[in-house]
Amino acid sequence: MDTQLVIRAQRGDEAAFAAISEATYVRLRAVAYRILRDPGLAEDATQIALVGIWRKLPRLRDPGRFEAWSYRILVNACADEARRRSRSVTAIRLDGEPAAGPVAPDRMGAIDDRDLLERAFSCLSVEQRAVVVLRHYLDLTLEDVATALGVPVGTVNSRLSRAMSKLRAAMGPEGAVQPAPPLEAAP
Amino acid sequence: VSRDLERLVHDWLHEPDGLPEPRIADVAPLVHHTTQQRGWLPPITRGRITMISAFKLAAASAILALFGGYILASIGPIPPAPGPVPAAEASPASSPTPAATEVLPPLPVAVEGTFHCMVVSDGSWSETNAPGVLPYRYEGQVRECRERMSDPRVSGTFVETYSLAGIDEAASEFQNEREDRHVVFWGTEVMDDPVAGWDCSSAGTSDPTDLRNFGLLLRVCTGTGANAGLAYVAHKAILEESYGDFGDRRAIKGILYEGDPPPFGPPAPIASE
Repeated sequence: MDTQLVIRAQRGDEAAFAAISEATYVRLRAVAYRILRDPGLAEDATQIALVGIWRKLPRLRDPGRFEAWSYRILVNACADEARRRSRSVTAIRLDGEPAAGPVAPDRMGAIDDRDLLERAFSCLSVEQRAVVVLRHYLDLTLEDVATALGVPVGTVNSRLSRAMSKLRAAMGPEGAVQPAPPLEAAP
Repeated sequence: VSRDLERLVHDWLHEPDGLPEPRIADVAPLVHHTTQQRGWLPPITRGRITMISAFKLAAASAILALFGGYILASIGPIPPAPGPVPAAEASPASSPTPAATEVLPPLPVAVEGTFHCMVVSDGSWSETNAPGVLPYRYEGQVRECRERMSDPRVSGTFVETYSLAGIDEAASEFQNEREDRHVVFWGTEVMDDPVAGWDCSSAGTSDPTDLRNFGLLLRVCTGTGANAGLAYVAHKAILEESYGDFGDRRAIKGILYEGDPPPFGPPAPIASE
């Protein structure tokens, strides 16, 4: 990201922020989608995050760290969206059609790894998903994930470890994927 | 197995998402109607920071001994307390003097209100590596604050001269935001009204843990002119919603009464470097 654009936006330049939005929207939405596994929620979370980024931008100390900082706001927006929509998402899932994927329970015998993963991923908290996505989708280092999420590296490590353990368990030979709980951020 | 799973997760996350056209155009109107947060702490401008000299620290200690108090004594060498308020720089105080016929609430009385500040002149940054001492400080910013209070005796314009010292680490490593700084701040607040004014000292701390309350300071005032013999003690919360280009709007609550204000603390010996 062009730091001069960030600095201009920090000073209230809406045109500069429009350029930033243009440059970051698709990437932020892609991250949000991979965390939330729902296109509508991802779109909303992206827009909420961009407004939050604009609002808090003057407080960003180092414009050079804009990208990592923006991921933190995005993840928070995803968590908020997940909380806000948890009831409706639960209702959808109770109908047998997970928001995250096309696999119906009665077709479990035919699902492949991808579908298993989809369902297993839906069992993770938003915080755990965020760590997995930042690490394995954006390919950030653990240190960069920590910076992006505003938590210590040790916390990232433990979240990632727990998330991968859950995925591993859910992907076991029995295909023991449990019904997805409500999509909700961890307390 | 772990590596296989990581690879599987990696590949799965990188599959095309097939999302519809992004609604980027929706963002601009939302942004247009959203006010940016501007913190009350001045931005760090590294280029202007100069190392504070031992001489300055000694001078600071001497001046602070006349001004500070035990609240500030524990933070180590302290920069000079701001000098007299530059009356020429601030616009004239516009405190409404109670008219002779105005019926004022009997004392003691609880007061509350808001204020809105403008920076009259910036302070200056300095930085020190002295062990045990708050490493960075900002000295002598002058603000003019218009206060709308529930009692006219404490409503009007105060000229604040304030300084701060703080640490700039730990939380900021993770948070990367200005408000993560932990600071103490102190200063003078004067309502320079020849008829009825106030001379105040203030001190406070930032509150970086609460996004909606960035700081709290205590003001202790002695009345001047027609306010002589009165004391005014208040706390001022610095609130998130106050931020804008113009300055701060903070909530004030306090007490106005006859008598002396509580002592702000005896002058304490200042450790020299």
